[in-house]
Amino acid sequence: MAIPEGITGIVGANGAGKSTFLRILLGLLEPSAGTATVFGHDVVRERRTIRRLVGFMPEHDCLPTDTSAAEFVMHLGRLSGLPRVAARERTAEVLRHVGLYEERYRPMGTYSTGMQQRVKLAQALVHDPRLLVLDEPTNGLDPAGRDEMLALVRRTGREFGISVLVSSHLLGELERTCSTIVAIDSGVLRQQIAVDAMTSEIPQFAVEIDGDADAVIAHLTNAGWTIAPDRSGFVLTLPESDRDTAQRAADAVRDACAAAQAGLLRFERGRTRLDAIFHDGEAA
Amino acid sequence: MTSTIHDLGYQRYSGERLSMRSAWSALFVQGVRTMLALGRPARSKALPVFVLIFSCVPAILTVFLSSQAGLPIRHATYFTGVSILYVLFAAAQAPELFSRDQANRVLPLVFTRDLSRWQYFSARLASVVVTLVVLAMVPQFILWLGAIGLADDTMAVLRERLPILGPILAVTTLAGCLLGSVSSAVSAFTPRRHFATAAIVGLFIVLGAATAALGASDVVPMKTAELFNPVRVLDMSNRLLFDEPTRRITREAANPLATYLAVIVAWCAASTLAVLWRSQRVDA
Repeated sequence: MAIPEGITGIVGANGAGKSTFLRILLGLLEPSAGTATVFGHDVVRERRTIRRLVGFMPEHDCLPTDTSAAEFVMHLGRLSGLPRVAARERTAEVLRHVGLYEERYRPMGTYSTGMQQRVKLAQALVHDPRLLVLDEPTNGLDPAGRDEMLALVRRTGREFGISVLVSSHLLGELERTCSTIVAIDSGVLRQQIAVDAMTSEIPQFAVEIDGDADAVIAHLTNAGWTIAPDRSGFVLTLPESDRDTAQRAADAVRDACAAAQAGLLRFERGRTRLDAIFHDGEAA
Repeated sequence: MTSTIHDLGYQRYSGERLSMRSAWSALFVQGVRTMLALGRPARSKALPVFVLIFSCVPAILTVFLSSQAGLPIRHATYFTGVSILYVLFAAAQAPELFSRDQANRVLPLVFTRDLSRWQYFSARLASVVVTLVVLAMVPQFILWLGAIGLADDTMAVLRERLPILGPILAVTTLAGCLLGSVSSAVSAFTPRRHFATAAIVGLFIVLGAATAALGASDVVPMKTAELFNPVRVLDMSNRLLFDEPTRRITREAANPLATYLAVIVAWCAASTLAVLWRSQRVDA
């Protein structure tokens, strides 16, 4: 499996092996079998070359409570080989980039989880890596914090040309952020999907019904629509991808629900399809 | 007048990147600063300042008494008197370097940079040893400079005292290496700082007590028993290296200098090997 440039999400349940996979790429763990390369460098033999190119944000807490963010990030910048002055400038730069201002001089023990996650991101960026490896960057954040962190990840990946490998157990998060998603399950890399290609243009509606779904499906099938039942409802595939067809399909679903006296729980484009694809992959 | 704050966005870094050696020295300097609690809160400074002051007070008193009563200034027994302070210092500060990073789980951040495990641990070890050497040197230099400063014929005394610089360097280096490497080895094995401190103090106390017990019983001659007490070994090597007449110890009762030196080297080597072993196995 080759992971392209851009923002790539690694999705899997807790314990699926996301962190282990990332740690193998970083050379923190030896692979028990198989090989992997990062930028063409073998993760075991060319560990040091890889480390010059990557920045790592671990999942766990890694910030000394009595040190300030400025001091900590600068220290790690120096350890990445930046000269003293450059390390100080880069520290100011990345802390501003992640949105830490005056509080950077306070001991990190006083930081909120959101601020701590930002410092963790900043230390991974301080030496301007070509690849950023983020292990569950939204862990422990509230919804607003998640959105901000994901926006930061998107900006870093899209505007600044740094490739990002980000893991999460929430597919929805990755869908909104990544250009590619890799599913991992019980330590096996399952599938790789280009998100843009999948979510934007394919003309499908995902529908979830409260009530007699079979009756709704029957109504729609009779009306000539292509229906494929899935785990939580069904998927309606549009014959054409223009707006008119979409509108007619929406009306048809509404009418079918009304006729079958069923409630419409969910009706949307795109969002759930990745989910469905991964479930199909598991079943296959 | 209006002013606008422009968000420059993230800036790439295209400046100089130094070698791994500079990362090593950055880590070393940070380690020495941490040992001396420079740039740390006031309460962290208490112990280093306490040790520095109280290890120098006898030296200052000696110089003062010598100026008043003309007592001779001697170097050989100085270490014995203040050795407990150095043991305390090593026990309290070495875990600051070795245990803290493990407790805070900073190691994955360090090991994903261009610095090998052994380079990290060797920089830590060097910080501990060098700080202890310098700390032990300060009172010896107070004695040395005091003797020259008090002399009527400065040049004559300087010429007479110049050869003592060799033994001063030797004994402080031996003490720093032994206490530093042993305390580093112990603290490298635990992320819990207080456990490490207790273990280091405990180790030196137990070895001292064991020596006393062995010496008191007639099973082992005192000459052999004393080799098990590192502080005693340092003390004896001091007396032999400075070669000053003392009341309590006569040359005949002591082991040859080479034996003491061999014991010190053995302690240092074993401790360094322990740190090396640990560096390859510590979880990151």
